[in-house]
Parts: sequence; C-alpha cells; structure tokens
Amino acid sequence: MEELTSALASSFSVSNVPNNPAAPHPRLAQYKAKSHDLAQSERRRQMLDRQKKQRQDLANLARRLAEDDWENWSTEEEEEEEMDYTRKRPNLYANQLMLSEWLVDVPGDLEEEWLMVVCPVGKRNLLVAAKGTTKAYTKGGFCVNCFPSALPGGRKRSYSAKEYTILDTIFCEASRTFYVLDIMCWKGHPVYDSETDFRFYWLQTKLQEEPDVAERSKTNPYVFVALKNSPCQRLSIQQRLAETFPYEVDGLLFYHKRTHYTFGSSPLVGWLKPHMLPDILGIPAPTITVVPAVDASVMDTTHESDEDDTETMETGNTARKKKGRRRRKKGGLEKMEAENSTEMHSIQ
Amino acid sequence: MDLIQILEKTVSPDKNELDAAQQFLEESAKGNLPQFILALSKVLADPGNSQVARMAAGLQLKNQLTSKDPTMQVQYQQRWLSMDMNIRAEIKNNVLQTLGTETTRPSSAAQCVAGIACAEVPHNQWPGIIQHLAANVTTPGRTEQVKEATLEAIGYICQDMDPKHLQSEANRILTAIVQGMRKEEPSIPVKLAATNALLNSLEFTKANFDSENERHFIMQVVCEATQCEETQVNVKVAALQSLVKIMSLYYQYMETYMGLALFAITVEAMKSEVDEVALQGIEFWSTVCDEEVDLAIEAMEQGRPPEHTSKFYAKGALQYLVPILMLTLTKQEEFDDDDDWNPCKAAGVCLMLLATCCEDDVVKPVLPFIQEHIKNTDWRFRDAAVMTFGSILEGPDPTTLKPMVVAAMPMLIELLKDPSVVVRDTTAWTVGRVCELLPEAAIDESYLGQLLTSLVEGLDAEPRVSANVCWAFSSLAEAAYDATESQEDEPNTYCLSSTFEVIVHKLLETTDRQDAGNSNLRSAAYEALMELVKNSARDCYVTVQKTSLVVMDRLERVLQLEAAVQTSSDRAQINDLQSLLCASLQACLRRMRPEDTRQIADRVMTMIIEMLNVSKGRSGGVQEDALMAVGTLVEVLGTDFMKYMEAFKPYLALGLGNHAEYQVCLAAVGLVGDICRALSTHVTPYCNDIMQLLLENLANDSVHRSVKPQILSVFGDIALAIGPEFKGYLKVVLSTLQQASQAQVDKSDYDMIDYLNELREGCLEAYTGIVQGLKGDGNSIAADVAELQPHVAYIIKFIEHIAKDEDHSDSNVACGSGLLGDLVTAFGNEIIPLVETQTIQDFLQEGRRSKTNKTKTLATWATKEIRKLKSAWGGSSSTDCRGSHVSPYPASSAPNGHVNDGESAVDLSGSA
Repeated sequence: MEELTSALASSFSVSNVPNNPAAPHPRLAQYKAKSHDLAQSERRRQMLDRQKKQRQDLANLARRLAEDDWENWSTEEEEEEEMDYTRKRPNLYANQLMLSEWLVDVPGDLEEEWLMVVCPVGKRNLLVAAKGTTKAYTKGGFCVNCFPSALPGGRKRSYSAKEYTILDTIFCEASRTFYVLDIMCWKGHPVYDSETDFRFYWLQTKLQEEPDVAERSKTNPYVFVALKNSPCQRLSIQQRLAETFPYEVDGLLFYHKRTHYTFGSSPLVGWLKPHMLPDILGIPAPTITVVPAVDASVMDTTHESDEDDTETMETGNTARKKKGRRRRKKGGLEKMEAENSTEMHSIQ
Repeated sequence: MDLIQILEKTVSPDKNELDAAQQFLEESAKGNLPQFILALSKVLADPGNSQVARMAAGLQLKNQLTSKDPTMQVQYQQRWLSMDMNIRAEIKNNVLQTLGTETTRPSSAAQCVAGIACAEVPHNQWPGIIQHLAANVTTPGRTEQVKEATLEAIGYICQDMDPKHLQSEANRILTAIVQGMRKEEPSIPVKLAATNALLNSLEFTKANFDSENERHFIMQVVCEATQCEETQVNVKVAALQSLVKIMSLYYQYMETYMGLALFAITVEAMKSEVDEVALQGIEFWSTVCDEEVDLAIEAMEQGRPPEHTSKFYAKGALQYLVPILMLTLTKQEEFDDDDDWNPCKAAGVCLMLLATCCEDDVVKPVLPFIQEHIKNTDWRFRDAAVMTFGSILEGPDPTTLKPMVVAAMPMLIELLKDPSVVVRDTTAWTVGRVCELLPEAAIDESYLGQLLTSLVEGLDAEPRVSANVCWAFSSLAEAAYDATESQEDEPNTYCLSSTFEVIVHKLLETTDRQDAGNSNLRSAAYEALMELVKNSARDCYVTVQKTSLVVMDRLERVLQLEAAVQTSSDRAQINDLQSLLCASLQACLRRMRPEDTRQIADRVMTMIIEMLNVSKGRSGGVQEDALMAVGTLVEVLGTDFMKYMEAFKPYLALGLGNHAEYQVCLAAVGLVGDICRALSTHVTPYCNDIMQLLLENLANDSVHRSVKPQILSVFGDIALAIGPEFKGYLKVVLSTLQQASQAQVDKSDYDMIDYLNELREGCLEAYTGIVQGLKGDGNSIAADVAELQPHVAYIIKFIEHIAKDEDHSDSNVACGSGLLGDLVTAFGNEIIPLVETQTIQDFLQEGRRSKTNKTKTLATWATKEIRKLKSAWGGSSSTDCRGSHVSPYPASSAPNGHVNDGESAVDLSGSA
C-alpha cells in the first residue's frame, strides 16, 4: 500500500517538467562557488584565441604592420581629408566630441524622435576622470585644466583602475560649473554605442548617485550639473524656455533619440540660437530669465570683459567655416596655434 | 483471475505473484488497449472495491498516458487520441466521478484526469473540462474530498500543460483556486491543494496580474495564506513559494505590496525555526537581488531606458536582512552533506547576492558582526564571521575593500589552522576569493610569506579544504605575475620566486594523495600547477623544467595502466588523468626554452602518438588534449616538426574525421593551421589529403557547425603556407567560399548572428591567406595573383555586404579592412573604383574609429594604401602600369542574391 502511494506521489509528470525533489537545489552551485576555471573548455578557448592571434600576426607581418603603432599616426586620419597641412604632433584627445550642425531643415519627426537641451554659454570640454585626476580637454584635444573631482576615478581616494569617467561638458567659468551635456563612459562602462535616450537617462541617474559631484569641496573644486533634456513638441519647448535658468543661455541643442555618440559633427544633432526659433520652428522668440547660480557681479564682469573670448557652442557648420578661414591663411598657422593655446590656458 | 485480484497482487510481497500480475497487466495492455483502460477506469470508479485495487488501477491508467521520456509521452498521447471517442468519453466520465470518492492521498483520479486533459485539451478534445473542475470547487455543498481532489487535478494540469492552452481559462482556474485558498476555508487539505495549484498557475495568469483589482485580490489571498497557523506549515511554505515566484514574474507590480506586507512577511519567515519556512524567506530576497541585478545589467546593455526599473528593494531592506542572515550562518551542520540545502547555505548565497546587488552599501552593516565574532570561542560564530567576510568580497568597490582585507589577512592566515574543519574550509575559500577578487591585497608583502607557508600546509588538510587552497594558488600565481607589470614576455623574478619550488613540489604531491579523488582535489591541484607554470618568472625555470619531466614520467606510467583498466570508473579516472597530464605538459612546453624542448620532443611525440593510439574511439577528451599538446610542440619546433609528420599524419587524419566528437575535430583543424604556420612550404606534400578531409567536413551536415568557420580560416593558413602551390585548390576553394559567404541565418537568434559573423570571418581570413599567398612576400607582386582577378569584384561585394549588415562584429571590420588593403596592394589602381563606394569608405571609417587597436591599425593601413595608390595614379595619367586589361567587373553575382542553385558543396545549415 505504501509503495503504491509513493509510486503515485513521486511518479506523476504528464509532461517532462523537471520537478524532482531529490535533485540538488538550484542555488547549491552558488554556495562557496569557485570561479577559477582551467577546465578543458577553458583550455580549448585559450587555444583557439592563440591560433587566431598567430594567424593575424602572420597576416600583418605580410602587411609590414606591427601591433600598437597606430597611436603615432592614426588619429590624424579623420581630419586629413579636409586639412592636408595638419602634419603636427598627433593628439589622442582631438575630435572626441559629438558636434552639431545648424538645424536648418527641420526634421519631420522632430516632435517624436528628438530631445532638446538648453545650453549655457561656456566652453565645450571633453572631461576625462581617470587614475585619480580629472582633466578637461578642448575640442582640439588640448588639456586646459587638471584637478580632482568626485567623479568616479576623478580623485585620489576613489581611484581604482577600472573606474574612469568620460563626459561631454560645457564649462562656465563664472559659476565654476561643468554643465554635463552627454555621458560617454561611467565607472569604466562605455556607453558610446547607446542611444541618446539611454545616455541621457544614464547621465541623470548616475550623477545623482554621486551627490558629492554637486558639492564644491577641496577635492571637488568644480561642481557638475547634468543638463536637463525635454521633448520637442512646440509647447514643451516653449514651456521649457519659460523656466528660469541658472546660466546665460547660448542656444538649443537637438539630439535625435536613436543616435549613438559619434565623433565630429553629426546631422543627428542640431543647433539653434533662441532668436532663430520663430523663423525655423515657428515658436515666438522667448524671453529668457536668468538667475545666475553665483554672485551676479562676478558673472557680469566676466561676461562684459571678454565677450569675444567667450567661445560659444561650436557647431559643425561654424567649425567648417573656421576651417575655411584657416585654409585661407595657411601661412599664419603657427600664430593661430599660439593664439589658440593662450585662449585655452586662460580658462585655468 | 479477475482484474481486481490482479491489481491487488501488484503490491504482493510474494515475488512470483507480483511478477505474474505485472505480466498479466502488460499483456492486457498489448491486447485490446481501449477495453483495458476502460476496465481500469471502472475499477477505479467503484467505491465498493478495495482502496489498493482502486489505486493500482489509477496508477496503471495513468501510466498508459504519461511517460518521463518526452518522445514516449507524445506517442502515448497520440495513441490515446486515436482511440474510439465513445470509449474515451466513458473513461473520462469514470475518472471524473471518482474525484472525491477516494480515501487515500494523493488522489489517483486527479492524476488520471490531468493525464487525459494534457493529451486532449491542446487538441480541443475535452471542451468544458476546466469549467467542470472549477464548478466542483465553487459550487456550494460539494464535499471537502471532492474539492481537494479537484484542486489537485487543477494543480497537475497547471504544472504540466503548456500555459498557452490555459490562458483562455485563466479566470475560471483562478476563481476556483482563490476560493480554495480563502481565509474562511476550514479544510487544511483543500487550502494546501489550492495553494499548490496557485503556485503552478502563476505563469499563465499574467492578464490577471495586469489588472489592478484582480492583482490586489490575489496578493491578499496569498499573503493571508502565509499567515496561517504553524499546524498548517505546508500551506505556509506553498504560499511563501508563491510569493517568491510572483516576485520573479511580476517584479514591476510589487511596489504597493512591498512596504505594506511582503517585507514583514518574508523577514518573519527568515527568522522561523522551521527550515522550510526560513528557506523560502531567504529565497525571496535572493530572488529580489537576482531581479535587481538583471535590471541593472539590462539598463546598461540595452542602451535605452529599461522597460522596468529597479526599485532598489534590496538596498532598502539591507540593514534589516543582514543581521538575520548572519545569525542564520551560525546554524551550520557540523558534518555537512554536500548536497543538502539548508538555511545556513541559503544565507551564505543570499549575502553574496546582496553584495553584488547593493555594492558599497553592504559593507557597513556587516562589519560589526565580523569584528565581534572572528575570534569568538564558538566555532560556529567564527565560521559565520569568516563566511560573511568572504561573501561580500565581490560587489563593493575594491578600493573600499582593500584596506579592510589587508587588515584582516593576518587573522585569516591564523584561521587556516583553526581546530574546526568547517572554519578551515570557509577560510580557505575566503582566501581564494581574496586572491581572485583583490589580487593586490593578497600579495601584500607584509604577510605574503606567512600566507604562503599556511597555504602550503593547507594542502595537507581535508580534501575540501585542500581543494580551496589549490584554487587560491591558481589565483595567487596570476596575481603575482600581473603585479610585475613587465612589458617583456617574462619577468626575471617575482614575489613567488623564493617559494615557487616548494609550492610546485607540494602540488605534485597533492595530486598523488590517496584521497585526491574527493572534492575534485586532483584536478584542482593540477590546474593550480598549470597556472603556476604559466605565470612563472625566469628564475623559476629549473623548476618548470623538472616539472615537465615529472609530468612525462607520469604520462608514461598512466599509459602502462591502460591494460589494467577494468571498470568504467577506472576508465573515467584514467581519462581524466591523461587529459590533466597532457594539459600540464602543454603548460610546461609553452614555458620552456626551444633548445630544451627539442631535447625532449622525441619522447613527447612517442608518448602522444601512443596515447592517441590507445584512446582511439574511446575518449574524445584525451584526444583533444593530446592534439592541443601537439599544437604547442609544433609552435616551438617550427620546421623541425617535419620529422614527425609521417608518423603523425594518420592521427591527424583520424582527428579530422572525428565527426561524432566535434571538439576533437575542431582541435585537429586548429592543429592543421599550426602545422602550416610552422612548416610553411614543407607542408605541401600533405596538403592533398588534408584538403580532401577538410572539404568533406564542410559538405557533411553531421559535422558540428562550430567547426566550419575554423575550416575556412585554415584554408587561408594553407594558402599562405604553400603560396603558388595553392593554385591547384583555388577553383574548389573559391566556389566553396562563394557559397559560405552567401549563408543566411535566422536573425532573431543571437547565437546564429554570432555564428554568421564567425563564418564570414572565416571567409575573410581564407581570402586574406589566398591573396597574400599568391602575391608572394617580395616587394614585387607575383604573377600568380592574376588567377584571383576574376573574383576580386565578388570579394569586394562580399565585404560591402558585411558592411551593410548592422550586426557585423568589430573583428569582421578588422579582417575586412585588412583584406581590402591586401587586394589594393595586389591589384593596384584598376580596383580603385570598386573600393571608392560610400559603403566601403564608411566601413573603413568605422574601423579607424574602432576602440580596438588592431582594427584601428588595419583600417588606417588600408585607407593609406588606397590613398597612396590614388595619388600615384592621379599623377601618372590613366595608364595602368601593370598593363593588365582584365575588367574589374566580372559577371559574378552579388553575395546577397541566391544564385547558387546547383548541388551544394557546403552545408552551413547550422546543424547541431
């Protein structure tokens, strides 16, 4: 009788659902687990990797190519097409930002597929926090500032090899603030290949997780503020512009929601000045209210004293114009370089 | 004898009676099956029969419908469906009537109902069954027995039927279940059956969870069921299990219930004295961690805001959970059965998951407990403290952990000698984790010496402790080697140099321990040995050399044992040992100086050939490791390997022909590549045979798909090795590559996308080898390359095809760019128009912007080659300096069209 009962109790399975009470618990393998694995499968993988590498080394030998020498010349390649004369020292930090084009042709899907960011007046900087320091580079790849920050990897205390951060920022000297436009890498996780939607979401949430970056301190002398993004319906743009801004507004950047972070000017990022809104988007010219985040007098003097020197958002188009200008005065290149570098250093 | 008596005899203690009964039943089933099943159902349905007869009848009936073997199962169900409809109707009627009339549990009628329903419902053959069962539960006045048996039947149906057949009945099923689970339900068996049924129904009741009102109601009933009295512990456990499953299926809906009920219910359960209850409480939070870690990963990988966001419940509850878990850790079994699952182990896993999920936040709440108890006189508390420490090493920022670990290491080193074996085991595991996760802290010079001494002593401990020590050595070797940061291939010395010999010696001893078969100790020790050899500094060379001799002696000895093998467990042990020794030998060969390797090469090859000979058709694992060892030897010996080729050739062919064990075949294909690189033109005499085998493999659909891309790549290796001699194979190989380059796969399957990329990479590598091989390595281009000219346009179209596929891999871009550069150097300006398309230019740009150096280098190089040629061409008018006038546009088809309708020489269908 008992045998029958147990036969019934244990043998029922109409389909083949693994429901065996005698089998080890599914989490048992996690208990005191050892991850180091030199088992056959691992040896197999290593062997295949090795064979692949040797095959490629041999092919590259035939091409007279040695590994790792790209750093000496390759980053120049992109610009070479337009600026043949650029035979200067290579710079790895050049052309690392995603720049805009004028939003002259309004895309048909602007309302659904784009996001808008209101940008402050300031200098566009590539910000790299790694190995215990934070460095700001201009678009051209010149290091203009080096300081500690509370960004992951950005100051000695929080330094671990895996942690580094790369941000696309606009620096406002008056308020000693880096306004963060975009995020390329956080704690060593690159998000270049993610869509705008996600990068913006990531930017907001990640900066929030490090409240220290918003507090000025000895080890975080500049504060970091993520720029807000908003949808592109005409009404939303108007509402957004009706808000009060803690910074002098330079213009509006429009990002396509699906673009990855690419280098150089992109047709998927558009730029408009506020006064162009009536013409291009049919939105009444906004009256922008600014309540500066710092002492207004500081702001004013800076602003008045070097109106010309304040570099506004450089778009693809203006960049191209500039290149045209440079090309015309090829001879004065050295001079321009010199000008350029003084301008950069003035930020410090 | 009548059926009832026979059925009663199926439990007879007399073996003869039993066998006779079984035989009778089997024969009846072979005879008129429908009548037999009908008869069984009548016995089952009649309450006048004995319970034994009824139950046995139920069991026999069920066995005619179900099987553990899925193919048999399908056959049984089809057999049932082919039976006469009237007989089936009568049987169904009988089993339904039986529900609630049985006095034994579980109800055998419930199983029969479910068995029939699972066969019929998917074919719409039993309409109304669910309605009937539901009414059995919800109609007032039905007996407790009817309700219980019916709910059991519903539970089985929910568990075993594909949810898609039940979705339309979800409301009915759920109503019946909830009716049985209500607080007001007086019968415990009914409640239990209902709760079990609920657990099985959760997958197809998604629509009900989507609706707020229904969700509230279900959650209320489940939560109430978790609160029933201790006497109803089964109901409680089933209800808690349901909560765990609800959490994993419907995380996004739990916010309302978390604070209100779930937190309190599960924390209470975790503290329970009843193991089953505590286990479910802990499992709930482990599941929360799993979900939240998944959500975080999804958020990062998908590259867009996740559909559901993490609510960080684990972080919020951390400070309440951790103290309970740590206390649970002190409830260890002293003599633990490895396979037992208990709250103590569950707590260890849960702590680890919490650390991964909550990262830095986990540190603060655990520290006081560790500090307080790591020196406790009660071993249970010492062990719990070490276990806690070991569990949180992954998750928090290493910079936060490092100082803590450095401070704790001296204590851990002490604890490696603890009187309690449990503490020693946990400590060894923890030290292993430190070595793996915080390598810098492990090799801190202030205690490294003591650590090494204790670990070496630890190799004498119980197998499970010792296996953990081996694992620690593996990670330690890697950590020590990485710390030298030597840019050269090998550092002169490192922090393990002074103890290297002692450790290696002790590990070799450990592999020979009598009890090394336990806790995987033997393989752990060999693997540690391999890691040490692999990560050794120059000044350890003598030890490495000696080790190679020991390994060879052992291999020879184990080969002599072959004859004595009798049992299958002996066989398995010998196979494992041969594999491990081969792998160890490989590690040594890779580290040895070529002149020393040459001296032992004869002995090694003799041994390997013998091993391949005896393991022929027996152990794939051994053959694979043996072939890999040959690969290493080939690499070291270069052209000197020639002298073994004649003797080795048959075994290479055997490997290439081993279709059943594709890993062996794969190793042999890889080895062909190694041999080509080493022997260069000397391999020519062997190529006919090899090429034939490779082409056969490509055409054979029983060869595992993962071998095929490798074969294509190896075509390139052969072409590069024998140069102009490859012309003989050119026609067949090019047509093969053309077919392979046109392969299409199901793009919804990620594995198949990866496979397609591998296949294309194989083609690109093959073309590369062919171009480079034919054009020769001098500065002038050999005329042979002209043979390839008619295919150039096709090859470039193929690269364009890859470029346009958005799923292409970075390594596709690297190979494609390299090939473009090769083509341009080989064919000159006549192909410039072909590579000046937007697609190719974008492809090269993608390569130049790649984050992988290799890809960047190749794409930049190719771009430069194209530019160089263009400027030279632009300068020298339009005269082609080579004077060739072959059109760059042959009538070859584009790779995305299907033109190959002839017989296929390649099978790339991706068969398993």
